[in-house]
Amino acid sequence: MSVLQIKNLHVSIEDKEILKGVNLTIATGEIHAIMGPNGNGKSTLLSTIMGHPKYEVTEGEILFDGENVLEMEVDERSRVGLFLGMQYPQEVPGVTNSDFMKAAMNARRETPINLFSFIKEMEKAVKALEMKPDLAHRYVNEGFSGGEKKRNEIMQMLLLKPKIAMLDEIDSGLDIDALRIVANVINDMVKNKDMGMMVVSHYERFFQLLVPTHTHIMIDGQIVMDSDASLVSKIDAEGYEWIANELGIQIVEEGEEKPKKQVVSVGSCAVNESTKGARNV
Amino acid sequence: MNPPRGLEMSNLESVIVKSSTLELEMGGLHTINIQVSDDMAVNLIAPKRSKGNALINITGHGKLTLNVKIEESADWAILEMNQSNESIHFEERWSLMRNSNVLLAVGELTEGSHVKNVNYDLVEEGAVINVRGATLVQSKLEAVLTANHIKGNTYAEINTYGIVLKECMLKLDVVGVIQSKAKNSKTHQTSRVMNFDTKPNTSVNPQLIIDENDVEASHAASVGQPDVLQVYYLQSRGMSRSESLKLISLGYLMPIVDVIENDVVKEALREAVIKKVAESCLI
Repeated sequence: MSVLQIKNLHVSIEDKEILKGVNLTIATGEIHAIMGPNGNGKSTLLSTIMGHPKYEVTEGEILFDGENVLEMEVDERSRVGLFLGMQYPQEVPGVTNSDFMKAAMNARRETPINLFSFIKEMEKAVKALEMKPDLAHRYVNEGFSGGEKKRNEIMQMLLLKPKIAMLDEIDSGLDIDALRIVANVINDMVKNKDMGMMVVSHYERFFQLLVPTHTHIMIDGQIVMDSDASLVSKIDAEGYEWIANELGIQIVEEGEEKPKKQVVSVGSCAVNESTKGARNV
Repeated sequence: MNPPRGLEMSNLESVIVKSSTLELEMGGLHTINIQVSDDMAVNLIAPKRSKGNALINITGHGKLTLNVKIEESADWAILEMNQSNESIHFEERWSLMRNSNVLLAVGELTEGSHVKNVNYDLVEEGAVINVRGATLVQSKLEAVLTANHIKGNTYAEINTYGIVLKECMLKLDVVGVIQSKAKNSKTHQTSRVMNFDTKPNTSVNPQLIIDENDVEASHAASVGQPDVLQVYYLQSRGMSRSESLKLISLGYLMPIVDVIENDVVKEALREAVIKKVAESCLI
């Protein structure tokens, strides 16, 4: 079993603090849903774990099986078993998907994968995700539709077999059928391949298909509430304002330096079972 | 036809060692190896209504005046590879006659230092040329590429992709000229250069000189360091920074491989490009 631990993580971008002390532990076999209003740090958390050059860790630790992730280069993080399915995957003109995937798979092997095995594995992944057969010969993400880009991210995850995978709004751009296909692949991987997941999404539909073991709400750079899958439905029905009110915290609007308004705590609202894990902030 | 003096022909392979004139042969891939020495002039002719694939390999050092005439309604896919690790001054003129069509890939993957002055003359109506250039500058290259629309209803597209290694220099001018009376002509150019040096040793200058109405023209040029987010994306899949840069570089150079239809040549060229990039010290 592998474990990813995030301890008191503070992250800034251009001197603006985005994450303000995040604590989280994810183990293989678990699916953690990360929810929260836009612009409150969810994508920053995932990108920081992967090592995005834009983000500066000012305090805290990230440990993977006890090893300090913050000391690792981005590629080392990938090779130890971390994966990030990106919200906006990069295009790499002139590089075919098959050359890209072969290089990525070889990067974690002692000897290069033989061509036959590679083709077989890639074809299997393409079939599982019901992607177009010409995918291997197309340039990485160039000319791909939004949905194709997201499926391509999942295909990479399938072939690279990470221990902890993070998906950043991977469901946006996927239609209902594609969502089901992607969810089936993810569920199979978690079940059969000893993988844990952190999934950022705004939509209950995705979490109905994935069924998280844990749900976390992130507001203003902190995880303010933990629960199980039932919290997803409540968020879907009622939004985030009730959490802010209940905990006396402020929701930051995306792109704004300061909260849009002062939120006054109205004390304890009706708290159902799913919100019992609320943290003090 | 009988080979002229200085030319040895074997099936579809020709070797040129001195000033010569040669017709491009149909029926497969015609490979032409030009071994430059001193001051040479080579004339290549694609006959009327001919159609085929040609590979022009250039080695040696000195000055090469290369005139390529694509006659009426000829249709050719040509790969021109500069293989010289020495120094060559190129004076090249491509003349495209009525309704001729050329898809031209130009590979510069050498350690040599070269000067190129290339004119693509669209001499008669209906002439079309598509140029794809892939350049890995490991020393110094100064090139001026000019698409010259002399008559109307002509089309030229020049796409050049370059990688400049540390301590190396590239100066690239890409010029589109639409002369008066060349109505309904279209000229387009795109140049993208990735510079691995932090010094400003690379310049790309796109120019359009238009002397007629009712034409279409565009140009785009970019010079920059490797894209940080592209490198991050590839590294996030496990490739080291060095491997990522090599893969991105291959992406710049590989599109020339698709010009030739011959699978054997295509695979050999692909391997050659991979080898060149692998041997380059990119970081």
